[in-house]
Amino acid sequence: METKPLVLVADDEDFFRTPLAGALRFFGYEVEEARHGKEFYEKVDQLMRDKTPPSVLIVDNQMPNQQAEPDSQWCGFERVKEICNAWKGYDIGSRVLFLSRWGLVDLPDSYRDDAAKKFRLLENDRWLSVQTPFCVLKNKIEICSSLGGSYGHK
Amino acid sequence: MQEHIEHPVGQRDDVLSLLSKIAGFIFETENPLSHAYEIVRQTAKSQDADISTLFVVEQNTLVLMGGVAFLRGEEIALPKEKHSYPLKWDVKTADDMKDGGLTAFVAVSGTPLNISSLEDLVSYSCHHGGWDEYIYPDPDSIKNSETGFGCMYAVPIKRSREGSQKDTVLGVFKIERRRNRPPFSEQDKKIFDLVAAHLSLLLQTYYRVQNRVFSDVAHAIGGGLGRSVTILTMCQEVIKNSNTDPYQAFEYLKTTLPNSIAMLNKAIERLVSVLDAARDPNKITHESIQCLWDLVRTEVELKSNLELNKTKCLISVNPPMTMETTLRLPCIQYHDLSSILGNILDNAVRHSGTSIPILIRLYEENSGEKSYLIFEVLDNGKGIRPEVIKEVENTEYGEVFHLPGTAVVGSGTGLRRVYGLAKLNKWVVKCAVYNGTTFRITTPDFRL
Repeated sequence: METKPLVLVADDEDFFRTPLAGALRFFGYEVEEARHGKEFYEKVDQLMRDKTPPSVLIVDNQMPNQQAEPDSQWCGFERVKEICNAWKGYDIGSRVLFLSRWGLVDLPDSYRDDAAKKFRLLENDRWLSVQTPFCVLKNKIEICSSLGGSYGHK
Repeated sequence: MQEHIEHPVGQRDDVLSLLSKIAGFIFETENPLSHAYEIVRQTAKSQDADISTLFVVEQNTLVLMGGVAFLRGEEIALPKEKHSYPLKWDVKTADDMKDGGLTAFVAVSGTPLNISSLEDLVSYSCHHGGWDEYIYPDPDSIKNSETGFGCMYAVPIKRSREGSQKDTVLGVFKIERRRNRPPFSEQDKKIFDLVAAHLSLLLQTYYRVQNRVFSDVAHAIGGGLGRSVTILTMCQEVIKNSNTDPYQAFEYLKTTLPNSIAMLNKAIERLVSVLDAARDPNKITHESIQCLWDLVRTEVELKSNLELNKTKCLISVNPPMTMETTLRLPCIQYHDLSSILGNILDNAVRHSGTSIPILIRLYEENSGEKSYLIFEVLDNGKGIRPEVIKEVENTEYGEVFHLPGTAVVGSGTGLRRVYGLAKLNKWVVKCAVYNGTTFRITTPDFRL
């Protein structure tokens, strides 16, 4: 039986995360949801341990005012970097799609370090503005899913 | 598959263009750049200069905002289209700016400003400038630090968060005199320094308010509107494919569609309220109000120095504004207040001695539940005769504009204007004569 590609959606805004997850389920994806950076990290970490890595990770790079991480405005991006670092041998960065207001231009210079570059998090293809039509987002998800369910261990 | 992906950059440009129009609309009643140039022009005129220019360095262009040459008493405007240049940010020498000329070179490199790099200039909190040694660079005038044929200032208007030159906006103004004329004195330069400080505040206020409006509108669009529209595109895709699983499509749309429309409504309401707030001076933010007060302070300082021509008196503002008082300032009509203070200061500067400073005080006074904002100007001059005050107080506001000889010193025209403008704003002006004159301007209950 063909397994459905797993998409993990991390966004603190329920009003956006829920319909996005619903639409992806409608189009045949298995979806996991995370409400903040901490939950995102724990879920990805668990999925990696269970050897069921998500095919695509859609992450709101800015998730401020969360009880779990009250001080971290850019915790979406930070958590992605941490999980990439924790699972270094796996090319998690190539499965990430960041959602931000205007795209990569939003990210402050201070976050653009060598580690982010090494994990391929600063590539334009990884970043989408929140105004991106769903058909474009779906297209990107399909490209990421086509990389396959299992990550090549380097 | 890659070629089907539409890049959202075009969409972003459209939004930015819209925001520029909104900001332009908000500020069209008084364009601070035109106002800034007017200050440069007036300063050049009062100091008997031969040419004055104000440039703005933004992104990759150096644009002339205003320029005029004074020839035998006639003013000749410099055409803007002939004085706007594309910039190369890797410019190292004047030769690199062949198309831009010397002005463009000095504006970009900061060479005559005695700074080592543009990055240094950007890091300055206010303004930086001095004698422009590139104008008539004869050895004698270079060696004399007290005189010069031209002054040039760079005023950081907007700083890049990342310190990038391209994202920094600078104002550059120059005031020059021909070589066959006597050079400017150190006294002239002091006045230019004040003008630079004033322009710095004026332009930074403009950009701060503009940025706040941009940021609020962008937040409203990016946070609510943009996401709501994306959710609608999700519904659109589900509808397109609803024949694959009609029941699931219905279940999805049943909840998502009403929610997203409600979100859209909220986002539009938010956008409208942001724009309304931006146009309502009573809701202006603390930061811009603080700048407004700084402007009042520097404007009176500048005016007194220009009017006096020889800087003798010191004006101090005491005590400093409290946060609470500052927040209530938007009720004050800045231009009228500036005009009133300017007129009172004219008198104070003319009739005061030189040893005791003129004092401007701004404070809050409470009486019962009411709160008053009070401006006081105290000097040690000879005072004003009571009959003059009585006459001025009894003048109707309309009469102010029909008085003959408005420029005659001591005709009381300035004071009539003070009382007239105060009446118009329902403020109270009281004049007390002791060893000098104290003017007290009281605004009615100014709580928001």
